Amino acid sequence: MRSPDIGTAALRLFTYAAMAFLFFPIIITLIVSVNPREFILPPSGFTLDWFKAAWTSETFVRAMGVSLILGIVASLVANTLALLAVLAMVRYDFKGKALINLLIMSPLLIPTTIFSLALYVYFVQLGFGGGIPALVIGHAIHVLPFAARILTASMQNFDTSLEEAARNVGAGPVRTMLSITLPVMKTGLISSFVLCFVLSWNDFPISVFLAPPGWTPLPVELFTYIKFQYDAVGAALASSLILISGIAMVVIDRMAGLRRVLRG
Amino acid sequence: MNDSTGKAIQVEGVCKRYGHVSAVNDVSFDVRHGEFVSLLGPSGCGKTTTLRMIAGFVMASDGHIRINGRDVTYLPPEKREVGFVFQNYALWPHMTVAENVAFGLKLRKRDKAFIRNKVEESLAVTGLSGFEGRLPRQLSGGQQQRVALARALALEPQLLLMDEPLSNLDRALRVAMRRELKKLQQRLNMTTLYVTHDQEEALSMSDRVVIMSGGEIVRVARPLEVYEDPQSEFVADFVGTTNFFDGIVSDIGEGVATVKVGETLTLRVGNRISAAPGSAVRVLLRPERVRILAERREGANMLAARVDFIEYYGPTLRYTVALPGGEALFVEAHDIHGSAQIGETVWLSIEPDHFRLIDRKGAPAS
Amino acid sequence: MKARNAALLLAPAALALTIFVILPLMWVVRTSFNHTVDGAYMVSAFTFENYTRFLGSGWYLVNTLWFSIRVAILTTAISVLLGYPVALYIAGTRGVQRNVLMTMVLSPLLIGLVTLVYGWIVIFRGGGLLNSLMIALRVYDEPVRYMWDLKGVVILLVYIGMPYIVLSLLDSIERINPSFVEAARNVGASRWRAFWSITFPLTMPGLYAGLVIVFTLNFSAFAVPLMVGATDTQMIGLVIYREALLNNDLPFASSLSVIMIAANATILLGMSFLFGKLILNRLEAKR
Repeated sequence: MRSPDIGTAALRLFTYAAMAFLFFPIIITLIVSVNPREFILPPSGFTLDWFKAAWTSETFVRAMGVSLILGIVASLVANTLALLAVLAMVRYDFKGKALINLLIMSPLLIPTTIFSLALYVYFVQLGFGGGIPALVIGHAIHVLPFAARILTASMQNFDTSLEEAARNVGAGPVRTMLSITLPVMKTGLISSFVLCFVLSWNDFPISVFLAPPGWTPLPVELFTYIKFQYDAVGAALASSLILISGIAMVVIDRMAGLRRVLRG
Repeated sequence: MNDSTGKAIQVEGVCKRYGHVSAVNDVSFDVRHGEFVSLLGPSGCGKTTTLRMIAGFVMASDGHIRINGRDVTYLPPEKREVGFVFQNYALWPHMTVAENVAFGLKLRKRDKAFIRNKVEESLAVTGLSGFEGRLPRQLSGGQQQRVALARALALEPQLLLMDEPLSNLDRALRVAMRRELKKLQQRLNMTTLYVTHDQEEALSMSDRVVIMSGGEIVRVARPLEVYEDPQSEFVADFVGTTNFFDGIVSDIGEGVATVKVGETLTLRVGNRISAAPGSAVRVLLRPERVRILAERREGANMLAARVDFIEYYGPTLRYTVALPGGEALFVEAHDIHGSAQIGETVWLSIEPDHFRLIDRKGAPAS
Repeated sequence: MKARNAALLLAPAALALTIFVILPLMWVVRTSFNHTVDGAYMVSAFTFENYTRFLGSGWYLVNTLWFSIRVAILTTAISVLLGYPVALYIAGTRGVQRNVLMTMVLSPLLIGLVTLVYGWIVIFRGGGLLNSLMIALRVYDEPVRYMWDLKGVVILLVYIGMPYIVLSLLDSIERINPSFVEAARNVGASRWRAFWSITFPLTMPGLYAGLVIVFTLNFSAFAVPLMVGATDTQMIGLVIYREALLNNDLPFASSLSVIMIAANATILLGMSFLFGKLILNRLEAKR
């Protein structure tokens, strides 16, 4: 009969080990955050005390508010700009398209370190370095290429004969856009917004350069916290971030396919 | 290497199951040395799976496959020593034409001079001399097809398996390549098993045709027999166009039987009749076997019919005619200047020998 | 009319990106020639002093530039060694198993850096899980320093880089026609030989794309060394961060950025030449 497939078996074993490596810190964080005996494993029970502490801490609640506002505003800005640009890119043919595309993708091509520093240097010399507008702009620009990528894919899948049919039965261009184009693209728009929000919500490098004192996003606050404190409240906070990312992953995957969206 | 049976391939009771789905079911056939055999059938009939089992890309779930008498059923593909030409050619895109052809020879540790000569020779045979340094993507579809063939021939296989090798070419080139392939096969006396869904290809190239449907073999025969004597409704319908009549054998005379179809139609059907009087039969008739006449003449079967529809095919005309009992019938005429018009009544003349009878299972015999 | 529509639609994004990406980048280049008065404030100038301060210093070259390159090469190489078999395995899976594996590979990309680092700190710190386990198993007696050390930086950069490698390799592997391998087996190649002669060369485009992303990411990293590095892990990205935010020496930070981009571009150029010679030129040859 067929010889046992040692190669595939070894490959499977290796893959599972690598997956354990990828998932281990996430699992550990989740376990520690509900374990009554701080950091002592195996867990002795289940408690939400750490979560309670994290979610009632004034610093953290404030930081969550900052991250929430920052994420929503940045995503709105990025998606609006991206939607308009993508409409032009997909629907029209013009000279210099490749160059414009390069421009739109440029925040992805530049190392985050350089991008953050450049904005910091720029804003400092414009006179409002480390202000709220700088932070919002930084986040919006950083997530814009991701929005452009999702929206391009969803616009390319859009069957233009749907619009033509609407025009044919008497709808004007604006009415067609509102009644046909945007509703059909709904899933693309939602997943684009969710992805942008999550990227902003989790961002550390840009925030650490641009966040003004007194308006600190959650990841920077968490970093400051774990630098000086080592307790399970940090784990609860980290777990909250993981859960929110998890929900976002499910939404994006259902709507747009995670892999297509995240590719380098 | 020829074994005493004279069989290059023996497929015995081979099955392939994927879970509960059976892709190939109890398939058995042989290919003799030097023979060109086609596996013909609609897509999904199991012909490609059967070929891939012989090459070793798919393992049979059951049964045995012998190549030159040797049981290869569980042998990995690299140990089978058969040539294979893929539908999409499967030329390695990172290797030049010469490297593609030489790869198998290098694996066999042949010396450099031998490899160079062999590559040159194979490319010459397939008409590709001078293309050694090209990459596959720099070739046309027809040229890629030739490289795929040269790559298989370079190893001097005793057996060549081809999986729809011409289906990606446009029609004119396909017909030219078909002839070229057949000539080459005859010159090299190469045992060939050829998978196709194109009946024209199978009929024109093969010594024998194996027709498959639903994972099973329905007929193995020479091309002429397949067409002229399909023996089953599936074959008759899949290979060419056929008219069917369901009838009852009413009388058997000397070499001629009488079949009653419905109330009004009586057919005089010639020889090779095994059915007993009273049995239900299906009568097959190829459209080109019907002669269309403007006036009634003498003949065994002389039927009046009304012309319902005429289609012009270029070399032929196809009439759709209705018999008085309502039966519709295709008639193919080479006289494209035929004078019959839609709505007119014409006479159809059919020789009794041109009918074929098959059993009609489960039909009432009364 | 049509051209005007397109221009109007593109204008907001193009303007925003020009003002907030292109201009700042040019501004960094300009700033790198400015002069800093005693770490206090910056005066407009045109001096190479920031460049000579870095490039003229053997210490900086060895401990920052060369050090960063070495760390980036090492971590990228480990990511490839870990990621290649994973991509190969995932490419052969289907259905639920595939979805689960893909989710696991992709999740680090969507979960924030700080969050991930937290998990690693729990595992790797002095009295953390790994040390407790190793000591309990008597592999060693004294806790080993993983975090706040180069080891931690390497582990985390590998961790963050691996998903990118897997993703870009998967793109390449899935594009390989299965009949390429079958054809090789048919002419006599074993599985092993078919992998090395056919599959492996054809995954080079994906490997190259992954290398470009991950090398750049690791070479310029500052957040990871900041969070888990020791004070002497002078990764160039971290030095830029410190000079800009802690020492307020924007001209020096800017010149370091220019040097970093130049070094990165040089290395990527070398890599593209190497890969082109090896295989990409063939795969991308024109008719």
